[in-house]
Amino acid sequence: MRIVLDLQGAQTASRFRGIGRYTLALAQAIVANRADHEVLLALSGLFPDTIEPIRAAFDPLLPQDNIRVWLAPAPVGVDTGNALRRQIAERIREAFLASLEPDMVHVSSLFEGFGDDAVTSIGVFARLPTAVTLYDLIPLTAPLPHPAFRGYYAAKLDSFRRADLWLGISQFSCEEAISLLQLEPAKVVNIGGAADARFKRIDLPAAERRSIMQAHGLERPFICWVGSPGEKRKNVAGLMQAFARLPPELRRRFQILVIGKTHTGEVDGLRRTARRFGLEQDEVVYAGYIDDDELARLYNICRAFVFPSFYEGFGLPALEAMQCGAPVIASNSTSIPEVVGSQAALFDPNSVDDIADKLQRVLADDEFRADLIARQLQQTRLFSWDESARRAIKAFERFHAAAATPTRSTFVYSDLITSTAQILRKKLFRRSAVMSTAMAIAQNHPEPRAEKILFVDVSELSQHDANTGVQRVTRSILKQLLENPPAGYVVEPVYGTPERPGYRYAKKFTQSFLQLDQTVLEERFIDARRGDIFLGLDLQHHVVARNRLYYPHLRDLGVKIYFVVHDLLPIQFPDYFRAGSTEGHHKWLSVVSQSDGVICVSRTVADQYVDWLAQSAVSRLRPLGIGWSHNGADLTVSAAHVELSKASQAALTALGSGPSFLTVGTIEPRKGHAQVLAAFERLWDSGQDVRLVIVGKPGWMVEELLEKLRHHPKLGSLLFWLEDVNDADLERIYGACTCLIAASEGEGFGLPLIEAAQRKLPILARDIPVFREIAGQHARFFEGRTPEALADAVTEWLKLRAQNRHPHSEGMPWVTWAQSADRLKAILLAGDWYKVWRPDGRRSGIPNEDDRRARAQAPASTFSEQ
Amino acid sequence: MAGWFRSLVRQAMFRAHTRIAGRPHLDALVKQSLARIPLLDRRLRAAVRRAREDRYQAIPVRATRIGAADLTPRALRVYLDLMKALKHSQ
Repeated sequence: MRIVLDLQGAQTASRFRGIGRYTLALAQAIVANRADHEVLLALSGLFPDTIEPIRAAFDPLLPQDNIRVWLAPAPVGVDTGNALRRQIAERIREAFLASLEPDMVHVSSLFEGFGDDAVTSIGVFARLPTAVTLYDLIPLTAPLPHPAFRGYYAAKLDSFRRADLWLGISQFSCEEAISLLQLEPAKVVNIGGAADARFKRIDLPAAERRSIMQAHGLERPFICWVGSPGEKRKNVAGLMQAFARLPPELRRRFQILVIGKTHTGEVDGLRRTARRFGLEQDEVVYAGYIDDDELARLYNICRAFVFPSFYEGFGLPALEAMQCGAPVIASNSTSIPEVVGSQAALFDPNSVDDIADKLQRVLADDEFRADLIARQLQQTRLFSWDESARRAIKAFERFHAAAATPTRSTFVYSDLITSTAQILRKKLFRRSAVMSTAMAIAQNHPEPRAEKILFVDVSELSQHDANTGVQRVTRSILKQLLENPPAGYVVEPVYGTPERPGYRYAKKFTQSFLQLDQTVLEERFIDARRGDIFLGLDLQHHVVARNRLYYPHLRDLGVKIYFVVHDLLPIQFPDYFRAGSTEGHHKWLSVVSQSDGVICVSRTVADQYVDWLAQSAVSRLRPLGIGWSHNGADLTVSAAHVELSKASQAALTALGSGPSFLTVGTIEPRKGHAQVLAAFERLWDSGQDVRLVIVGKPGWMVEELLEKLRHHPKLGSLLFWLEDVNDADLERIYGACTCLIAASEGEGFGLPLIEAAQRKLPILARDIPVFREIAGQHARFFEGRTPEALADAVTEWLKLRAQNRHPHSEGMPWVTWAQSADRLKAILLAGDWYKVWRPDGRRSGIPNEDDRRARAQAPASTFSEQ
Repeated sequence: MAGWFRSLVRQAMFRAHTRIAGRPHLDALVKQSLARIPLLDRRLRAAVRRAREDRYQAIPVRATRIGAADLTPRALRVYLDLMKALKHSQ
């Protein structure tokens, strides 16, 4: 059977309440107990913040590919102007579910969508075998005064009745639904519920207990109450009133802790209520919303848990508290006795005296208290998510077996077009409505294609090729990927702009890059779909920043996002970069760190990135892969020019026969040119016959050095500066020099070292990790940032050379661009990661804002070697 | 007030109203709070607008201003199919 679980109940505001917890826990248990059944999760793309947490909650329980996201035009909440859009959205959602060809659809919470963008309906477009979770019928038994809600609820009940199977969370809810809605009893199944396993007995030391109490402003042992304080049926007022009736000496020993999300002004209202009952301000403490781990700790240390609700569909907080070993006294109404079990623990919620009697007993009678705890711990064994899931799956199987001709639903595209067009017509052809509908349908029902797409970002390269190191990498890797795409993929260069999020097909660039002669009319936004890959190969900080919300959108849809990290230099050397560069790089890395994986150009950069992650406030829910792949070093692939320039020719002629040292790279502070020049000035002053050849364009923050170079007395005799050198020139220059000096203080890769080794040119390099990684024992290393240190290193190197004891660069390993691209493909497709960053403390629940903040502050991460 | 902001306020009022229906003291409190909204700092409003536009533009179906140029090739084909169906249904 293919079971599709609609998890909107865990996406709307319900995710902060019992319905959200129930939805997620039951779905996880169904997945865990699915046996041979196939389970797909259907998530609404209209709640983007919830998709990654849900994906994380099912990782690795369910393949990520089994989590499908659908889109619909929005907003669709019950509001004026949304009615027709909501009708369209209902059809689009049902069409999407039909396209999954389910044998059973389970809707976790049908009554969503009032005031938010949940879309739930049954049978308005497709006839799908549908089961619905039946929580309670509170709005039917105690209608809210708002007429819009009453109308909305009535419409939902119509859908509810069209379901094929109802899964009640308690015997009470089943019987109530059969009675009030005249449902066929055989199709109403009590699957029960359970509490999360994190609600358990915890041995908390006295000091920690005190600290927890202090954190919540508690001074005395306390009684715990959990729920939405604003809901009258939860009866927090009953507890307050009963507490006020306790004997004064008993009352003085305890406080009430009210836990639950409150709306603006609600706490003030509760304080007034408490005062009205004669309670002092310090007798009731309001904790607001508390995450589950903290809640479990509070259950563990409370004196008693009181659950005076008038009406519940199940009564989850009572079960949670019981699992934590808290003695629970509770209302004897609706489903609560099913959960609490022990008759001795029950009271009449309408009788304050009854509540007060039971409260007094649980606070003062230790024997009663101990007996309750023992009985209730026994009772909790009747509830487990696995059992609920097994009952649900069994109900699905029975329904499936009983169906006369169990055929899978199918989706017909033209039916959806016709159906939505009928509604759109009522909107009088508003083009924007038609377009947003088209976008949603296009996303939900992509055209079948044999191959997936590897989108390669060429945002910078497609705008202008400045021939920087990064662009050289982008160009070379792209060429390899286009010539040898990964199996099952086609490669599409794409570009983004700072104006708006999204990427477009880089058709013009690609045709020019591949030297094709075709007319390109337009470059539309990309059609990305589940299984595709986006590779952020090019580097354009502002475009990536602009798309910081677009990448998560693509990830939500099932597109894998990867970025290539060339270096962390602006962060490592903030003084060597223009103002704003460091901050920009931090921001860029923050966005990059929310992807599926990061591929660095060297192991050193990967290690530096790992260090950055450990120190950063990056918070994520699923592991992040970190890999590395060396850049290629075969010049012929990138070489576009063949003729030797006149300037290079002249320099090569003037070099003469003495030892000549070469530096290659843009002239910028980090590259160490100033130290090199100063060292050579000392060598020249001491009469050494050595030459210095500087190959590199003028960079930034080196105006003084450039001025000095331009007017240097040795320029043209012992000092040579070649600003604009093509690959052919560079080839000749490498061949004509004696030694490469790599004095850079930091690099992402270190291509000149390999280029030198390819020409058997010896290397004198600064002792930094990336040069050690690239050159190993094939170079001599120097330390120190003074001219004297380098001058001494050059002198020493010359002595070694004279004895032929200097390290030879031949044999230094390097890879071609083809090999580099192959390695990149292995990382992207086979997950060949160097390290994986696993956020610690990951929880199965969906985090809220508090969780996110807490995670951001916590040093919560580990790295594992692969 | 800009149209989008007025709409935001209207939605907030509506949602608040559904939550607090039957509780006049809270109703008054919400109305008081809403009355202060126009006093929000201009920069704050601009930041809210930017965040909203970014969010909506990143998720195309929620974009506030959609034009034909925003459609992907597949969406363009679906759009043309819808337009054809609309004309047929007239």
